Amino acid sequence: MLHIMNHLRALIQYRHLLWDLAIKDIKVRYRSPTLGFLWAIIVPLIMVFIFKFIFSVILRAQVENYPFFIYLMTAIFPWTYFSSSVSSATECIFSNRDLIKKTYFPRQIIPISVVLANLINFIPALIVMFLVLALFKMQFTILIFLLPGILLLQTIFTIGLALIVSSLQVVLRDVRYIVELLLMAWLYFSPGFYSLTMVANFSEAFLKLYILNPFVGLFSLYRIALLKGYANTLPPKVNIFALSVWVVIVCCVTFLFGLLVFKRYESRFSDLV
Amino acid sequence: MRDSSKICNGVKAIRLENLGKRFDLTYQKNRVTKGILSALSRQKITAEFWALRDINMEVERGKVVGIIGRNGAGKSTLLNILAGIYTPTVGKVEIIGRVSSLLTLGAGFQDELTGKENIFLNSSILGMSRDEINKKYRDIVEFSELDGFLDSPLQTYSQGMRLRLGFSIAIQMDFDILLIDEILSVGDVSFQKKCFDKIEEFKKQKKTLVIVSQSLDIIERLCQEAFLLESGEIVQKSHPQKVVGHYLELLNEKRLPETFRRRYGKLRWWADKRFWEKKEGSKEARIVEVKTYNSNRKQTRRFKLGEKVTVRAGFVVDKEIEKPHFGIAIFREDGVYCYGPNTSFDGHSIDKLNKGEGFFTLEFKSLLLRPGKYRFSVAIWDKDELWAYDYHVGFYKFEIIGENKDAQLLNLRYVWEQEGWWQKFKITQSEEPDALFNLIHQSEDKISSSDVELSSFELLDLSGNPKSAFHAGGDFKIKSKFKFLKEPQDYYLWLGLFRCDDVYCHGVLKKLNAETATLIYPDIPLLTGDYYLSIAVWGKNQKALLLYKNKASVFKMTFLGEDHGTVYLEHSWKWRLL
Repeated sequence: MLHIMNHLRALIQYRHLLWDLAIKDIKVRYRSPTLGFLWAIIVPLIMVFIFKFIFSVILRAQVENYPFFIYLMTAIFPWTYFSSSVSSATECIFSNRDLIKKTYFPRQIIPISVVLANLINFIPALIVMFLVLALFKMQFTILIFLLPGILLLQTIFTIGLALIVSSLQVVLRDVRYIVELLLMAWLYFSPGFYSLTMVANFSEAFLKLYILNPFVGLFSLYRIALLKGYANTLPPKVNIFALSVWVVIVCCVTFLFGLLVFKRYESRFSDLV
Repeated sequence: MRDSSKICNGVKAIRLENLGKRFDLTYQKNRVTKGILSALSRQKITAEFWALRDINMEVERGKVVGIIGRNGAGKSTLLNILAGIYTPTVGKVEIIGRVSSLLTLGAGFQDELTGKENIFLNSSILGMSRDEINKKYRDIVEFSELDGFLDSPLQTYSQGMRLRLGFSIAIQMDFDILLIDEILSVGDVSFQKKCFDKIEEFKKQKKTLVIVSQSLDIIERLCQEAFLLESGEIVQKSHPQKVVGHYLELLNEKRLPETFRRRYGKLRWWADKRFWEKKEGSKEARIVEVKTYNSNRKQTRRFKLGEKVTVRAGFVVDKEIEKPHFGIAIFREDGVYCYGPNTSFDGHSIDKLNKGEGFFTLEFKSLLLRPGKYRFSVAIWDKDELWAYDYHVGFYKFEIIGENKDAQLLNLRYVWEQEGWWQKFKITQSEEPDALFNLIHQSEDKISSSDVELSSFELLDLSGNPKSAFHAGGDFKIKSKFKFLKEPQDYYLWLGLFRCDDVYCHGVLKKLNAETATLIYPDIPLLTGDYYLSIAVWGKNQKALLLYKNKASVFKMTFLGEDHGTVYLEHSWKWRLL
C-alpha cells in the first residue's frame, strides 16, 4: 500500500511532464492532417452514423422513448474514448522507446499521458454531443452534473487497463492482438446499440452475469446524466444504486491493480524494448 | 533503490555496492524465433550475459572522474545505471543529488514540433519544473545559437543543430551530478570550445562529473580519478595518467591490430612510413577508385594554395557490412600527420552498406596547408575501428603548388592587432622570410643585442587573460613588447609556431614600427598537443638577427574531438550507394 502511495506521489511530482507528453501527442497527431483537430469529431460521428444505419435502418432495432441516434451517441462517444486509449496504450512503451532507453522518469507517466491525450481529444466530441442533444430538443436535468464524475470514473478505469496492457505488451508481444479482439467483443457485450431491457427479456440469469461488465454501469450512468428520465426505462431487476457502487469498485480496483502490474514489469522495460 | 533525497554523510555523491547487471538473452530469442513453434515445444534458450559484475565505486562530491575501457567493456551500461535508465540485477545504487546526463541529447525530440516546443518538452522530460524552464529558456536559446530557427519544425534541422539544441538544454539544467558520454566530439570546433568551457565552469562550481571517453587526452586532462573497466569489471582505479598508461599496455598485450593501436597510441602526429603504399583490410568492401577535384570540379592532383579540395572514393561492397565508417588522413611527404577525419569522429552514423557499388566524398572547404607534396590514406573501417575493411595507407599523392622554402606546414589565417587608426589600412608585407629562416636555423637558441630588447612576451585569450592552454576554435593572441635602445630602422619581427617535436607549423613576418605587436590567430584550428613559439627581430640594414629566443613560450592545445593530426580542416562528408 505504501508503494502505491509513492507511485501516486511521483505522478503529482511529474504532472507537468504528464501534461506536456499528452499535449505533444495531440499536436503530433493533428499538426499534419489538413482537417486537423476536426478528426476528433469526425471519427466518432461517422461511427455513430454507421451503427445507426445498420441497426436502425437495416435491422430495424428500436429503443424505448429516445431517438436511436441519441441513444447510440451517448454510448459510442465515450466508448471511442475508451477504446482508442487502450489500443494506443498497448504500443506506447515501444513507440516511446527513445524515452525509455535514454531518460529516467516514472514510466507510468507514459501510458497515463496516452489516456490523458485521448481525454483531451474527447472534449470536442463531448461538445458536439451536447449540440446534437440540443438539436434533438432533449431536455437537460440536474443530473447533468453527474457527468464529470462519470468521466472521471471511466478515466480511472481506462488508466488502470492502459497500465496493464502497456506493460504486458512489453513482456508478451501477443497482447496487442488479444486487446484488439477483446475491445471488439467488449463493445458487443455492452448495451451500446441495444437496451438493457432486451437483455433482461432474453434471460434473467444472463442479465445477472451481464451487468458485471463495468460498461453496463458506465453507459447507463452516461444516459442517466444526459437523457431525461432514463433511469425509469431500466428493467426492474436492475438496481441503479447497486450498479453504480459496483462500477466505482471495479474502476478503483482496476486502477490499483494496473499500477501494481506496471510496477512489476517496469524495471525490465529498458532491457526489452 | 534510487535515493535522491537522503543525504548520507555529505561527501559521497555516488556509491555503488556489489553492483551487477545481467542481460537475459532468452527474451531476445523468443522474439525472433518462430513464435508458436518454440512456445509449444517450450524450448527455453537461456543465455545470460553479465555486462557488469561486482562493481564497487564511490565518487565524492565535486570530483571529476573518468571511465575508460574498450568497446563492450560495460562503460555505457554503467552510465545508464547511474542515469537510472537501467535497473541493476544485483547490488545497490546510491545517488545523492540530481543527475543530468549528456548521454541522451534530445531524447524525445519530436520532428513535427517546433524547436521551441521541443525545448519545453525535452526540458520537462529531463525533469525541469515549469518555472525552471521559463527561467532558463533564454539561456538555452542563446547557448544553442539557434535563435531564428525556433519556430520551424525540428524535421528541418540538421543533425548538428539537433545535437546543439539537445546539448544546450541538458547543460542548462540544474544538477549535482553530470554524466558525459562520447558525444562531446560532435559539433564544429567553436561549439566544442563552448562546451569545453562549460565543463571547466562546472568543475569550478564543484559539480560531480562522470566522463566516459575514448579520447584518453580528455580523460587525462579533465579528470582527477579514473576507472578502468574490462569485461564488466573495474580492474583499476587510480590517478588518470596511471590508468591510461595501464590501459594502453592492456591494449598492446591483447595484440590488437596495428590500426587500433594507431588510434590510441602515440601515432597522432606522425605516420608510420613503413606502411605507406600498402593496402590492408579484410576486403568485405573494397576501395576501387580515388580521385581528387579542385574548386572548379576538375580532376587534378595539383592544387592552389587555400583551394577547395574534394576527395572522392568509389568502392564496391562484396558482403553486406554494418555500421562502417569512412576515413581519410593527410600526411606531408616526410610523414607529418596533417589531419585525419573520419565519419565516426564527425558523428555520422552509416547504418549499413548493402552489396553493390557506392562512393563517398570528403570536401575540404579550404586546405590550410602550405605548398608541398602530400599523401593521403583512404579507409573503410568497421564500426569500432578495430580493423579496416579496406585501408590504403599513404597511397595517394597530391601537391600544393607554390614556393615554400622554409617548409612551413600550415597556411593559417592571422591578423595583426592595430595599435592606432593610422595603421588601419596599412598592410605590412614580408620581404625576405626565407632568408631570415635560414639565419634563424643556423643560429643558437638565444641572441640578444644592444639594439632591441624583448620586455614581455605573453599568450592571451580573447579577453586578454594570460594563458598557457587553449582550446581549438578559440581566439589566440600573442602579445610582444619591445624596448628600442636605438632608433629602430627597418626592423622586422618574426614569430614562428612549432609543434613540440620541432615541426615548423607557421611563421609570420612584420615590419616592427611600434613597441608592441599583437598577433591574433582567430579560431585557431590546431589539434591537441604541445606547441611552442619562437620570436626573432631582424635588422634589415644590419642584415643580422638582433634578437632571437627559441621556445619563447610553450603552450598546450586541446581539441575536444578525436581527430588526429596537427590542424583541424573544415570539411564535410557525403556518401551514396549506387
